[in-house]
Amino acid sequence: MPIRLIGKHGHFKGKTLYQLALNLKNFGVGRVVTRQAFQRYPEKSYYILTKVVPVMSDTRQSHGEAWGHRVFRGEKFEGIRKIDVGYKRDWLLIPKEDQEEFCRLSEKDFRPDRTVPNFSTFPPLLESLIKQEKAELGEDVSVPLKLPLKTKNLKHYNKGLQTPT
Amino acid sequence: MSFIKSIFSKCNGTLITQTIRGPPKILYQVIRWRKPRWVPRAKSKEFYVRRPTPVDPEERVELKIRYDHYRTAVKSVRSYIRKTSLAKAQKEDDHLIREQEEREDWERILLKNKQWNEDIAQARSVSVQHEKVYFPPKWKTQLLNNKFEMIPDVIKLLPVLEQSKGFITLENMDIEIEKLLNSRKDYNFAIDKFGNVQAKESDTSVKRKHKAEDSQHG
Repeated sequence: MPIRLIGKHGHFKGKTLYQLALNLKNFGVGRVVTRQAFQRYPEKSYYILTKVVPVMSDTRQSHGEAWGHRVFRGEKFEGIRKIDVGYKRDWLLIPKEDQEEFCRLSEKDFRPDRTVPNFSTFPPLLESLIKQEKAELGEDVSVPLKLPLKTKNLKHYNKGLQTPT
Repeated sequence: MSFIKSIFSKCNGTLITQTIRGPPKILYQVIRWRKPRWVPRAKSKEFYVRRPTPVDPEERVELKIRYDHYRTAVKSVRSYIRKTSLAKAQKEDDHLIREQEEREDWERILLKNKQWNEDIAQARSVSVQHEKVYFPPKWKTQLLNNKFEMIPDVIKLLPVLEQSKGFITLENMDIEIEKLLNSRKDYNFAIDKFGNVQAKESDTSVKRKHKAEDSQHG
């Protein structure tokens, strides 16, 4: 009987990190691994493994602990980071010959800063409501109202633009 | 909206809204019931795997940007409303103003208490003076009238004191013992039910008896 697939279509492509590591010498320390999901970004993302501790009793080879140097979206992270999602069947191993070329970061992998506006305009109804309240209190209504935008304090977000866009 | 609190309960495909005023109303009822969990998949759909809906990448990017902008705007408006409403509530319930009010209240209470105390002290001093003049102590009136009443407890004690003259003490113990040894008492008599002495032998017979005992010993 031929194999027939059931269930939902998955979006992972690859093996678990421990499936890869258990086939390698020294559990793949020093090797470069990446995820298929990282391909959605234009910049490069990968890990250089420093320590892998698979659970040897796990017949599915999907559990364990792993650490490595992290490069995410062309940015090198400091120190050694723990890999929390080694169980996902989404990991790809880079061959030893291509390692050097793969890990080299070019100008294309540099992520430019995004400029985010600090203020925006109010929704029209809310604006008229606030103006009405201010007029009742006897405040100045002629000054245009500015809504302070609530944005994330991310590294790549440059909050500097004062005028609403 | 505040006067109608709707509680939606979805049970067996029926959406019921509960209102405070009036009976619950059925909003809609689903005719096609959901298949129970234990019923297996249909034979025709046994090996059916649904392919994900194809997404146009350009459209997806544009939609994501628009949705992100929308979410940022909503978040900002929400945070603005939260901040302003909080500020308003704090202004209404300012702790500094409340503390000032409490302090003033306490001072007012203290002042009133002090006034009460003064009033009562004055009234008491007046009444004490009145008592001193019109209701002096008993000993004072007795002293003034030269009339001393004997203390009743001493009167009660007098017979006891009288009796105590006959008590046996260490000093007169030897004499008392001698007295007892020299005295004779005859218990050779009959009594009735009530303890009354019925018949008593004459003194002579007692003496005789004693004499007989003495002779035996002698």
